[in-house]
Amino acid sequence: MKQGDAGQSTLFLFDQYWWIIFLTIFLALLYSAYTRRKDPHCVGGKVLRHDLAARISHWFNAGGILILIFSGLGLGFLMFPRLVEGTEGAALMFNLHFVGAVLFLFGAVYWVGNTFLSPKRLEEHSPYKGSLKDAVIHYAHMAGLTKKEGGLTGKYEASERLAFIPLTFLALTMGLSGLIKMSAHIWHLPSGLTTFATVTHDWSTIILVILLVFHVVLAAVVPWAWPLLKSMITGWVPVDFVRSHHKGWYKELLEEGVCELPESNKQEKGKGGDDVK
Amino acid sequence: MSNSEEVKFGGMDRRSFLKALAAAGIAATGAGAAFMLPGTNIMVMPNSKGFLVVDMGKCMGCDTCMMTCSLVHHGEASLSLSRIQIQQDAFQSWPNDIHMAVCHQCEDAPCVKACPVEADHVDVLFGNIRTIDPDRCIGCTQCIDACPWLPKRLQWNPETNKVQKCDLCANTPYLRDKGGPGGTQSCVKVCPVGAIAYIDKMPDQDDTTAYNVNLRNKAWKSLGMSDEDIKREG
Repeated sequence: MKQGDAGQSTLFLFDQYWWIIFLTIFLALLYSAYTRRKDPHCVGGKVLRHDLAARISHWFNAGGILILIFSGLGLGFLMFPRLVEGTEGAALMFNLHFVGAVLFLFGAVYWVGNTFLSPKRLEEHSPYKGSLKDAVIHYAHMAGLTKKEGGLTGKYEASERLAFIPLTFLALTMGLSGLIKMSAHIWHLPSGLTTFATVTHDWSTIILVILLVFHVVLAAVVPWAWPLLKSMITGWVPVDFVRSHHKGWYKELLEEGVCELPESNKQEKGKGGDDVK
Repeated sequence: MSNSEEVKFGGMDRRSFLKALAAAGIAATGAGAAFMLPGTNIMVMPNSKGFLVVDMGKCMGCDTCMMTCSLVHHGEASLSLSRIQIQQDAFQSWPNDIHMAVCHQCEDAPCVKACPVEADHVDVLFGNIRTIDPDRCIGCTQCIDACPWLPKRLQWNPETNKVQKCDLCANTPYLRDKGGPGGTQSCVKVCPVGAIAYIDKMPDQDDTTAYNVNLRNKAWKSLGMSDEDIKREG
């Protein structure tokens, strides 16, 4: 390619199709406005933990973030001149980053729309007073360091609820700084603003990658999390698992009347037994 | 089923608010996308509000314009830092002995389109001039290569290792007057024979000789010199 041609003939999605990013945001909002969520309920020994909307939101986020990290690190290596062989590599990484941004934004904004419609779901995710203590006791118990189990675990564990704040903050930081960086492809922004956005974007990425490793290990790799991983695909989790690992949530399901006690427990209850153990 | 419909937001239920917000956003995005020219990778470029034209038959090659250009932009009189370029060929006779090269502020500027980092841009704050932000320029020289004219109307600055070009004196820290379109152009101001002029009407972009005009008048002719029109490209 002749020098000078690259800037004119190479396809950069961020330059040519920047509007798809904004369209994605508003389409996700529109989709959430037409989404009817399903609350948890029991069917045949299983509990609906994640409805379709939750799974769409999660996997769009997951796919988008993985592509963003891969392509973002690829772009970082292109800052070393000796690793750059041509413009095509940079274009490929930029365009992959664009695809990742579209997926991530759709998942994230769809979640924001759904949460805006159902504020109570935000409460499920948010940390509560004593979250840190419960999380420490929980993992100490799992490691066999203590016999105490902490408070009754709700739909989401204390550690998950603790992680919610930094993860949401990071997603917000990365999304906004990314939009500023992308806007520089459309408008002429002050160089100070783009530099600030770039530094913020880069540091957010590093922190997110670290947190992501913890998330993947605790939510997918360790055996006790496998039913939850499966539920993020199918939506359903066995009642037995909920009864043993999420006692607080199981209690709520019983109180709301969306799940029934198993026959054995009913008999025990008739004899004065406790329904949640 | 969630209780979302019961939750109000600003007088309307949240679901209706989300629908209205999304519809407005989609409409705004569509309008923004429609503002782009099909097949190009940047938005429609608004025309520059000012242009420099020259009379190559009038220029006497004193280089005052070059020295002044460098002076008002960089604080030093250096021919190497000038954005207007005067070339002289001792083996040619008038009017081909001198060639004046000024930036055309092109309608669909190839240098702006070639810049991969938006350093070369249309500055809407200064009359839509095509100019380079030195803080953004990475020195890739693709803009120089993309310029269709010879000599190229963008210059390599050997002191900053970045590209520079004529900005109609918009960014001139060493010029007392206000520069840019509608203001002072130092080369126009200092030319002793008035061989450079500032106009606000865009020359014909299809005519390669359009920026070379006749700035000579009767007084010039009365000195015994030619006032004939000269057709030269550049």
